[in-house]
Formats: sequence, C-alpha cells, structure tokens
Amino acid sequence: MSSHKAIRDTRSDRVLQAVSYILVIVFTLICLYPLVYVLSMSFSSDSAVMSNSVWLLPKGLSVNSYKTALGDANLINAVKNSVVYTLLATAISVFLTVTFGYALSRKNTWFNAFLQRFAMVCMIFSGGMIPTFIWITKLGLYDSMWAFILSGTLSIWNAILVRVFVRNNIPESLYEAAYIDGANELQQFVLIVLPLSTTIIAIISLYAVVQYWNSYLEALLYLANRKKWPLQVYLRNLLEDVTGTWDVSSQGDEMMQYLANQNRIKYVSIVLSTLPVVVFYPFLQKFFVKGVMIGGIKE
Amino acid sequence: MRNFRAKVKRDRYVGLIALPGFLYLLIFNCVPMAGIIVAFQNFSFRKSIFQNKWVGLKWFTKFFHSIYFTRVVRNTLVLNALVLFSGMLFSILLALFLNEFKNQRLKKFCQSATYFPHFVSVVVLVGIMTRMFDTTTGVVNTAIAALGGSKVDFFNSNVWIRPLYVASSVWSGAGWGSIIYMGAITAVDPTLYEAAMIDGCDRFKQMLHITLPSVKPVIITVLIMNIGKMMNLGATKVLLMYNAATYETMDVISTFVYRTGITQGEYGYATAIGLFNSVVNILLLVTANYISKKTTEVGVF
Repeated sequence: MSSHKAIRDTRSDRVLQAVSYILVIVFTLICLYPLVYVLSMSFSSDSAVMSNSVWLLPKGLSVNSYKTALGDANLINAVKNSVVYTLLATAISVFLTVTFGYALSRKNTWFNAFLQRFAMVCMIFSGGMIPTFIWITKLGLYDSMWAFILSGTLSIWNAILVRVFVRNNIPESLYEAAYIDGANELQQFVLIVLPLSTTIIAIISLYAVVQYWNSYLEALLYLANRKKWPLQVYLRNLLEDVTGTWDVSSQGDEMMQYLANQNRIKYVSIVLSTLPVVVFYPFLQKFFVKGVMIGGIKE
Repeated sequence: MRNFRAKVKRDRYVGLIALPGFLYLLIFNCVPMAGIIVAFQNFSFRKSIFQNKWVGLKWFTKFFHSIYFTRVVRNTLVLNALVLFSGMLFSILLALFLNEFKNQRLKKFCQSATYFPHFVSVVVLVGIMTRMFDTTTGVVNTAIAALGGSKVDFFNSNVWIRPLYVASSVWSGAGWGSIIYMGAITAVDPTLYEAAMIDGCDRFKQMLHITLPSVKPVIITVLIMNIGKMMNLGATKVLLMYNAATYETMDVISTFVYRTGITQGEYGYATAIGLFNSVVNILLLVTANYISKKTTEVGVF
C-alpha cells in the first residue's frame, strides 16, 4: 500500500515539475527573444533586413550597420550627452540620497520628527507635471541639461532605504565609541558610516544610473535643442520616422541614402542603448535584488 | 530656550548633513506643490504667478463637463487594472513554479533572464515592439502572413493596442515582480514541508497548502498597494505607444495633461486635471494604506 502511494506521488510530483520547467522556460524564452531578434537584425546584411528573412539568427553576417552608426555624428553626440548626464546626475543623486537618508536615520536629533514628516509629505505629494514644468521654466532651466539632471534626483524611497540600512547595520555603540574618541558627527559620518555603507551606496548608484540612462519624459519636457538630447530621445525620434509616412519616391538620391542609413542604424541604436545595462547586469541584478529585500516592497 | 539652543548646537553636524537634501526637496518638490494654484488661474508665462487672473473652479468644471473626462478616467482605470493584476498573477505563478526547480543553475539562469527586461528602457521596449509588430516589415506580421492569416496593423488598432500594452508590461515586470514573492517563499520553514511530506502531501499539495499561504500576506499587501495606485499611471509608455487613432482606448489622464499643458499650452486647465488626479491618487493611497495596516499590520507609511 505504502509503496503504491509513493509511486503515485512521485508521478504527480514529476508532472508538476515538468509543467513548472516548461512554463518557466517558455516565459524565459519570451523574455529573451525580442533582445536576440534585435541583436540579430543589427548584425544582418541590408538585404536580409529588407526582405524580412531574419527571425532568430543573423543572416548575411555584417557589421556595416555598426560602421554606419559609429559614423553618425548625431548618435555619437546623443551617447555622449547621456553619459555626461548620467554620471553627473548619479553623483548628485547619491550625495543627496545618502546624506538625507543618514540624517533621517539619526533618531535623537531635535529635528528628526519634523524631517520624517517632511520626507513623507514630499513622498506623497508633488506638484505634478505642469506646475513643475512652469517652475523649472521660471528658474530659467528650460532647455538646460540641469533641468534634466535635477529632476527626480532625490527619491524619498531611496533615502528611506538608506535610513533602514544605516539603522540595521551600524550599531549605536559604534557612534558612542567614536564620540568618546573625540570624533564629531561629521567625522563619524565620513569615517564610520560611509565606509560601512558601501552596499547601499552601490545600490543607490545603480538605481540612479539605470534611472537616468533610461529616462525619456524629462528630456522630452525640458530639452528642446536637438544637440542636447540624450540617447533615449534621439532613439525615439530615429525609430519613429519609419512609422511616419515618408514619400520616398519623391526624394532625391541623397535623401534615399540618408533614409537607408537611418533605417540601418535603428537596430544598432537599440543595441547600443541597452549595452551598458547588459555590461553592468551582473552587478545590477545582485544589488537591485538586495535593494528590493531591504525595502520590503520597492518597485 | 537655552536647552533648545544647546540641542541646536549639539545636532549642528547632522543638520548640516541633512541640509542639501532638504533644500533640494524644498526647491524641486515643495515649490511646485504651491504651483497648483495655477489650477485656479488664467495662467500666462508673460505675467508673474501672482498677477494672473483668478478663475475659481472654471477649469475643473470644464474638465468634468468635457467629453474627455469619462474617456481618460476609464482608460486610466482599465489600463491600470489590467497591468497591475496581470503583473501580479504572472509574478506569483513565476515564483511558485521557479520554486519547483531542482536544477539550481537553470533556476538562476531563468531568474536572470526574466529580471532583465526590467532594466530595458521604455523607449527601447516600445521601439522593439514597433519593429516586431510593424505591418510590412515586422516579424509578427511576416509570421502571420506565412501562416496564411491577414496582416494586422497592431499599433493603429483600438482592439490590439491594449493587449500589447499589457503584455509588454508583463514582459518587462513579471520577473522583477516575482522577487518579492521568492523572498517570502525562501523564508518558509523547511520543517513544514517535511511534516506535509510525512502526512502524504505531494509537491502540488505542498505548493497549495504551504507555499501559497505563506506568500499570502505579501500578496495581500501588494494587492492593496496596487489598488492604491489605480489612478496613478505615468505618461511615458502611453505617450510612446498611442497615436490619434488609438486615443479612444489609450488616452489616459497623464497623457491628456501632457497634451493640453505642454503641447497646447493650456497650463491652468492641465494643472487642474493633474490636481484632480493627484487628489484621487492620495485618497486611494491613504485608504489602501489604512486598510493594509488594519488587515495585515503592514503599511507603507
């Protein structure tokens, strides 16, 4: 009897396991397919791309698209802008978030209760798109890279992550010991808290890098000058042209060449704009998952 | 008073450390909050904010009476409901099934691969979609044609654009969303499974009676918080995906605000719509948080 039961159970277990494997693997493949497709398109020859014959692996392997892309001054300029904006914004964001989060974590200051409430208000309420737009414009930041860099630089969510991390990882006795040794709070922060908070600093930095590298709406709102566009806005415009209805037959040869080039670099631009994320992905995954765990619910 | 001064002196360094963030929030969060008074004005960039003519609730009445009101509110709710709940469903299923994996390497790989789309920018996501679903050159339509079907103009179709929006959200969010459930699953006491095994439960029953109940508190919290977000839908992805042909099913509050405010320059009107949306958002969020605290003792604030 018991052996019969064991056999039956094993079979149902196997079925469940097979179903799990199949469903998860199918979803995994669905997650990967669009990325592989774009990569293959970027490495395929013009004729293969034109004839819609690529569906998984590159056809007529070619790096022509990459050569064209690297020769496109606008694309290079957009990449350069994105790198500059992302680095500056990340540095500022980490500075603001870590200092503010640390201040939130110090329970015994006279202003702590006020600061917590202030942070809460800033988390729940915001002016919204239009009042913010008006204010940024009144500040004279319209069409300046600072409008882009200074939007969403200090996320209360992330400051709370820092607060939780500092409270959980740095025991009060450490501050006391430092105090006895004559270190004031500024020294405590720089010499004790920061070195012990490298994990959370890494998490916050990576959040900021991904946020700014992928940011689109703020650039769309504030940056009118094409020369200042970051990669995402450039990419959007590049990709959108095709869905528009070009009357190709009425254009001159030069226009045809231009359009062909634009068409060619579309897939390459998608690949290039995702490349940093791929390169940093092992770190991103590790630290982002940690961030989710520290935050409890953090999306 | 002397006591207070002593405290100020004592905490001066922490205060100094708090200052940059405090100033940032003051300038870039609080001042725009005050800017919502534009919702009650005839705003013009040529005048100072205090010189504009006050119009009372004119813009609110205009919005409530406009034909767009029901459309954008309905679309916001429908899109959000579809995205939030299908996202949850897929995340939970993914976590439950991943938990059945015996091969740890494969599990790690599947996790890495399904988390990845979370980091792909919205522009790239929509870009890839428009390429793949393009009527003439897209791989999807090529496949449909090869199978003998007739091609579909996905991005101009009021029938297809919502499913595409939702499916792409699942694509980019389901893996990432599963992390929180995976965390709850790994926290389950393994002796529970042993006991169930001795009682003759197979893996499926264990999943149903041990794993799922232990994830339940997380599911409830996420669910309640999602209800709190029902009217809060960012403009970016919709802006990238919709066009005049699909306003009927895709135009949401935030995109309507964008068009009236930024594109048409009706700042007062757009601010009023945004303010209406924020007020509803806050009410929903506070209610959701209250219910969450009452039922699960977990609140966000």
